[in-house]
Amino acid sequence: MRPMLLLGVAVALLAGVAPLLSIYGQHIFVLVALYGSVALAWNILGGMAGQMSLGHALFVGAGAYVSTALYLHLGVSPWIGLVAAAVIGGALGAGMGYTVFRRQLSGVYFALITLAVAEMALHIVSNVAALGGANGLAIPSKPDFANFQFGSKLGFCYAALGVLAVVSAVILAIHRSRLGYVFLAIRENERSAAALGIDVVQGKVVASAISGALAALVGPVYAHYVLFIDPESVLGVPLSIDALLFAFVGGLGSLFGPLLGAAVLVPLTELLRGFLGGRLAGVHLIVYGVILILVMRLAPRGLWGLLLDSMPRRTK
Amino acid sequence: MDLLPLLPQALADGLLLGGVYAIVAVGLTMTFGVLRIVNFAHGDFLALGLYLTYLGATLLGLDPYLSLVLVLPLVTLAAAFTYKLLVAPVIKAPEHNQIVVTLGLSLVLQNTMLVFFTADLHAIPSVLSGQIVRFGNVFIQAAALIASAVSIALCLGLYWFLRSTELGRLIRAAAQDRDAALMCGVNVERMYLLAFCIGVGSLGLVAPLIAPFNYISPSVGSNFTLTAFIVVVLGSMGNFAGALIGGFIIGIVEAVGGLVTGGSINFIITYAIFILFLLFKPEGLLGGRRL
Amino acid sequence: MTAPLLQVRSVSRWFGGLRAVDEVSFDLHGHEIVGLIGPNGAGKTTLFETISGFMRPTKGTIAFDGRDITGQPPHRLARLGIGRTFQIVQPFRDVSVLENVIAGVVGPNRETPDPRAEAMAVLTRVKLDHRAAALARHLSLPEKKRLEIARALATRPRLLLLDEVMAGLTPAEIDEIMVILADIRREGIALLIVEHVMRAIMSLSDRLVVMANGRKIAEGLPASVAADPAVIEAYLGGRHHGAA
Repeated sequence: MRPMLLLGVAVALLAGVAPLLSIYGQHIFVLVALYGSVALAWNILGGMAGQMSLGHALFVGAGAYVSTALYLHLGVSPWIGLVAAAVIGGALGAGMGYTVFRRQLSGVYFALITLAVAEMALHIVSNVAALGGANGLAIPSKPDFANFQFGSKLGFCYAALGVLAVVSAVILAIHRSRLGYVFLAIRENERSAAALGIDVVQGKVVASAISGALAALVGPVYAHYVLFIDPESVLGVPLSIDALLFAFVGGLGSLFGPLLGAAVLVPLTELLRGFLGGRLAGVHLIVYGVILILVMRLAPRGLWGLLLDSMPRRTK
Repeated sequence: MDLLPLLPQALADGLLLGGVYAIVAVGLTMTFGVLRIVNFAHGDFLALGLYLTYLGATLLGLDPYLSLVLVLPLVTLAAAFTYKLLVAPVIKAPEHNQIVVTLGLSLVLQNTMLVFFTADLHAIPSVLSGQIVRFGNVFIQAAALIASAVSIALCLGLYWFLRSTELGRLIRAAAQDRDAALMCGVNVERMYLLAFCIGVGSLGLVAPLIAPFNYISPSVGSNFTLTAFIVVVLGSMGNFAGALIGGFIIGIVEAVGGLVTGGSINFIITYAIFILFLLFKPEGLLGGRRL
Repeated sequence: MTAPLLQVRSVSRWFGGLRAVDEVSFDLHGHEIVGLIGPNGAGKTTLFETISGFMRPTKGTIAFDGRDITGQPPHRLARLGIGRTFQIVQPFRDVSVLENVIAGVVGPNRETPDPRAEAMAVLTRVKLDHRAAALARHLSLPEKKRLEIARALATRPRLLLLDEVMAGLTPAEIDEIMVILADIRREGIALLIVEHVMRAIMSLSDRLVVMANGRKIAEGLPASVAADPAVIEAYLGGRHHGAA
């Protein structure tokens, strides 16, 4: 259980650092924690189990919309909404996974389906009035713990850190269990995996369900942080690409590489945005694209891989 | 249903929209259907072509049909560079490398155009802009008609090229079995480069043709990319006639769907068709090679 | 004689008009080593694929330990006790040798109190324990072959299917594998081996099954099979990979 202890220490450290940051620093903290969580969740399916999704925004958006709709229309507390989000995200992941993987669709075809499903969800939500349509849903500002509105950025730092802690704990638990080996085998060689007694389809569905449930947790936290959600922001392709991007740059398949990717790229983006203002709106995306290409060509194991390579070799 | 009288126009619009989809998908049929190269930046080369056409119009005063002479080689050149620098190195790597690398390229292309040209929509004047052809109650833009005609010609041309010419056979050999082709003395690398340039370069032909009746914006590309993949799967991988038929079907579905439902429901239908086909009929409408 | 561990009954596998495997039947008993030989294209690998669950037979049945396993998926067969290696060895490249074997230990979803220790024990049996921490992709070919065997052994099979495990090895390396296989048999695991290295399979096998053109053309003790005119005919004109 030592890694869990380390995780606890890391979380405690971050919790201690948060109050010391400036308001802007806390804003970055929240973003890094949330984007990092999405990327880590993505990585469970994309990196650990090897099934690349191009539509992970589906889960974040589902979580955000389910929780927000329950809150606005039925007065359900967002704390319950968090649980509902995870359940819906997991169900979506399992359902989509089962439907697709049972038919032996993988690789680019899986990627295309996830993209199509996410886009479909975006268009469907844009046409449903009860979900705000294309204009989105606004959450009235009523700072109160019960409403998941903490009155200060620090509160959201802890909320986002909480999500990050949960996601990280799940990843550690997977890594140390049979499931970690199941994902490894599926990613490396499905035939060998089957010959070793692993139900490959089931393994992929489980990966998809866990990945979806965890990504969905981010939705409600984001919604109450920004007090507004719309299809583009929580279901759009840019969010899906961000998840993939942070995971790749940080280190595909490594345990916490995606968090590292988010920790590097999110502040970088904010910096660029601050520097260049609104006129050069797309510049940070150009940078993303270039970084993605460079990483793929020069450092396929990402930042985490570079970090590991630079350390002296240890034997287990 | 009082929509019935509007149906012929919707069908006509759908056919012409389908023609555009088909002509964009034809290139992807070559790169993805035949060569199995995943290129998520496919549509962005179309956008590149559109902006080059725009520059031709604003800087050189060229009508799109004239600037074709410049745009086609330029886009083909861009394709060649892309292949050499990005695609060739990862062609034997796991599939996800191609996906990610071309996604990165898509981000770079789209946003470079965004930075240079802003998100404002542009339109390019042409000698044929606004020229309408009339069939009874149905009005069709002349430029769209020409684009569709070229689309059909391009499909037939590429089909004939791959089937009946020496070069086409070499390309098919290289695509089917790299190692066997290499052993027969086929310059596999060059065949792939050629086929890729044809597939992506064709967008340099398409762009000036659709410029007179299509808006131009940086995100035009990504809309077309996903639809192109859908058309290629629908039309059966590597089948040019299939790309044509698939394109027309999607076009009609979207146009008629738009008529019947309004809003963006028509896209939902397209995606639903795509997902259903991948799940239940992955070999596409025309059967043949499985995924 | 106890009931056979594996019963292959009139198994056929057709690909359109091609009868890759045509009405092949044989038994395999526990503690036996049965060699499956035949010229290239005889259908041996296809037969393997049907027995290990990767292909469904077009006709015929396969029974393991008395129960019908025809058409069962590979993972279920592995959990029942049928392990296999693959002709082209593909270990999990980016993790250690030990991790590769642990995957085999936990794969079948059995109760295992200490997967790590169990994996180390398996590695010791194939004499790879000194390489436990090495990354799989740094292994030499003979080491990769032994890892392949170890991974399959880790699933605690009662029947192990070995698909040309000696291909590409030097005579000395072949001898090493033969020792390991003899040890495995001594532990009570039955072996069904496809092999082209004649001296190995002749000396290891208790019985041989010979296939040609999809059909079984001979079965019996190695010495009598080697003298069988039909077998000699099948190999005449073709090449077989014979090591000295």
